[in-house]
Amino acid sequence: MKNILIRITLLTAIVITLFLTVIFGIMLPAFEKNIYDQKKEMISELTNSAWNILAKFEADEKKGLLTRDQAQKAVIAQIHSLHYGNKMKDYFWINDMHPKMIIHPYRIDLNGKDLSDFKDPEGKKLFVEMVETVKKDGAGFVDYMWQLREEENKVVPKISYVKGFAPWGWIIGTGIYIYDVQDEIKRIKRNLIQISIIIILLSTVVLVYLMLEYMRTELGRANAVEALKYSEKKYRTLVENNNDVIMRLDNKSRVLYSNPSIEKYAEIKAESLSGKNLKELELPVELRQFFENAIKKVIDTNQKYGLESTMPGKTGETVFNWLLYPEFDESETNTHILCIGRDITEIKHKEKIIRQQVKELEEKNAELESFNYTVSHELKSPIITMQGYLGLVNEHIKQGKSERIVSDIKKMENAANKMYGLLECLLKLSRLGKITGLFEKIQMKELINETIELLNSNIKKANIKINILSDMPEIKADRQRIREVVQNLIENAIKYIGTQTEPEIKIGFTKEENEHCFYIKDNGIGIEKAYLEKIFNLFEKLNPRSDGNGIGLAVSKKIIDYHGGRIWAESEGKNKGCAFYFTIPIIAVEKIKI
Amino acid sequence: MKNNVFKVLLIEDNIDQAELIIECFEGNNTPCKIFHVVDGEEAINYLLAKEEFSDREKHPLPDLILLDLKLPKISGIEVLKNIKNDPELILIPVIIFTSSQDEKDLELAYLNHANSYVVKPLGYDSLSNFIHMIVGYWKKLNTTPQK
Repeated sequence: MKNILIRITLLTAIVITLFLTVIFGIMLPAFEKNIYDQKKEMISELTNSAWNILAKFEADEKKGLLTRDQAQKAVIAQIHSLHYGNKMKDYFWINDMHPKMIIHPYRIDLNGKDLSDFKDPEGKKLFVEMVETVKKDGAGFVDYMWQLREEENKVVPKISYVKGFAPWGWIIGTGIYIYDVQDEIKRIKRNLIQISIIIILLSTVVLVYLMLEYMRTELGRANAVEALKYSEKKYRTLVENNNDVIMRLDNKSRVLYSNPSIEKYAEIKAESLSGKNLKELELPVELRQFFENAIKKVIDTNQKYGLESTMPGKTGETVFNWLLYPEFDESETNTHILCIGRDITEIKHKEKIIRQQVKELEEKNAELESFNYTVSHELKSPIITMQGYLGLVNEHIKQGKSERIVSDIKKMENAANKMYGLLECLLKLSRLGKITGLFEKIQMKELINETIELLNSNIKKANIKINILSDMPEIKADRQRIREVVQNLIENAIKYIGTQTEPEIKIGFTKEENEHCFYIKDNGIGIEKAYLEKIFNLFEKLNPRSDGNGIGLAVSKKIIDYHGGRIWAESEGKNKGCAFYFTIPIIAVEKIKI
Repeated sequence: MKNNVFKVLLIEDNIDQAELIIECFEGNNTPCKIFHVVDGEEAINYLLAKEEFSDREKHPLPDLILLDLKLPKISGIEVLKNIKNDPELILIPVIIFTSSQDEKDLELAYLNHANSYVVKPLGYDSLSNFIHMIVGYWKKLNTTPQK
C-alpha cells in the first residue's frame, strides 16, 4: 500500500514537473518569441502605413499640387501628431540619410540636428546604424537604448523598424520598448504562474482526495480480508472440532470435504476422502444406497432431508442421525450437499431404556390398578356377607327360629375369618415387595425334604406317594421365599389330588442352559387349558367351594419373578393331572431386586 | 306366565352370600325358584344345558338372571356377552349384581346390553328389600316378550 501511495505521489510530481516544464520551458519562450514577432510585425506594418503618408504627399508633389517644401511640411505635421498604442503615446519619427532628425514628437530638441555622433548610453550610434540598415536592405530592425516615450529620465532598451523613403532621402521609423514587451510577458508569466499554482493546488487537492479515498477503500478491503480470514478460521475451527461428522459433497456424490470426526467411526483419514465418490468408499451396500437415495431426494426437492442410519464401525454399531442440506449458488442452483451426521447411539440406547422403563412402569401401574380393584372387591365381599347374616340373625330371632341362629353366626364367623385371612395375605404380599433378603446357597434336596416333612400329615391322610428325584441341585436364592413357593405348590398338589386311586406327586428338575427348571407334577383333578394362566392372578380361585383365598400362586409368581425366573402350569385338562414348573437362573444376582 | 313360579338363575361365587340371597327370595311372598351356579363356566353350561345341566326339566331357562361380575374361570362380562350374543338367551333380562361401583364396570356392563346394574346392598334388610323389588318389578310390573 505504501508503495502505491509513493507511486501515485511520484507520478503526480512527474506530471506536475512536466506540466511546468512545458509551460515555462517551451510554451512560455515560444509565447515570448511570438509576442516579439507580433510586435515587430506590428511596428513594421505601422511603419509601412506611415511611409504611405510620405508616399501620398510625394505623389501630390509630383503631380504639382504641392511643392516639395509644402509636401514635406505637411508630412512633418502629420507625423508629429500621429500616435498609437494603449495610451496613444507611441509615435513615429523621421530622420534623413545624413543622419539628421527631421521630426521627433518627444525629442523636439533633436529636430533639425545632426545625429551622426548621437550615441545611446551604451555608446551605440543608433541613427548611423539605421542609415546603414536602410542603405543595405531598404528597411530593417535596429535595437538600442532610448528614453521611455516622453519620460526623458528613463532610458530603456528599444527595438525599432526603420524604412527608407528614397525620393526625399528620409527614414521613417517607430519602435517598441522591450520593457513593454517584457512587462507584458511578465504579466502573462504571472498569470500563468497563478493559473499553474491553482491547477497544481486543485490537482493536489484532487490527488489528496483520491489518495484518501483509495486509502479508505484499501483499508476497508484490508480489514475485510482480515475479517474474512478470521471468520474462515473461526468456522474452520468450529467445523473441525465439531463432534458431528460434517461432509460436503457435490451434486455428483463426490466428497469435497470431511471434518476429522469421521476418523472416530471409521479407519479413514478425513483428508483422504476428498475427491472420492461415495461409490469408492467402503460402505455397506444398504448404507450407500440409503445415502444415494437421500442425496437424490435433496437434489430433486431442493429441501433438507433427514435420515437415520446404522453404520458398522470402529466402536461397534453406531446409529447416526443424518441431515442433508442443499447448497445453492447465486443462480439458485443446487450445487453442493452438506451432510451432518450426529452420533445418536447413546441417545437411542437411552431412549430404548426409557421406553422399556416406561413400559414397565405402565405395566406396574396397570398391575397396581387391577390389584386395587381386586382387593377392594375381595375385601368388600366378606363385609357384605357379614352384614347380610347380621340382619338375618335379627330376622330369625324375630321369627323365633333360634335353631337357625347358630348357623347364621357360623357364616359370619367364616366371613370374618376370610377377611382376616385376606388381610394377612395382603400384608405378606406387600412385604414381598419390600424385603430384600440376601441370596444364599440352597440345597434343593434338603429344602424339599423339609417341606414334605412339614406336610406329612396331609400326605398321609390322602395316601399320596411322593417321588423325589434323587439328585437335586444347589441354587442361589432367598431360602425362605423359595421354601414358600415349594410349599405352596406341594400343598396345591395335595389339595387338588382328587379321588385318585393311586395318587402320586413327582418332584424333580431339568438343567437348562442358564437355569434350573423345577417341576411338581400330580395326577390329580387337573386344570382346563383355558384357565392355566388365570390361576396365577391374585384372588383367582377356580373352585369357589374350596377353601384357600386365591393368593398362593400369585405370591409364588411374585417370588419367582424377583428371582428372575418364570413360573407356569401345564395340564392336559380335567382329571388329567397337573404340572407346575418354575425356573431359577444359574447365574444369580447377589441381591433381590426391589 | 305371571302366575307361574318365577325362575331366577343366580350366578354368585360367594356361597354364603348366595345362601343369603336365596333365603331372601324364599322369604318373599311371590313363589320363586332359584337356581344357583358358582362360576362363569357353570353359568354358561347351565344356560346352554351342557354337562351336569343337560336336563332342561331340572334346569329350566330362567325368567331373570342375577349376574355377579367377579367370577372364577369366566368373568361376569364374558358370561353377559355369551347371553346377549345367543338368540336363545338374548331376551332373558340380566341384572348385574355386584359389589363393584367402578365406572368402567358399569359402562362395560351396559355396553354389553345388561338390562340393569345394581350394587349389592349392605345388610339383610336392604338385600331383602332389593329382592322384593326386583321380583315385584320383573315378575309383576315388567312385560317381556313370550316365546
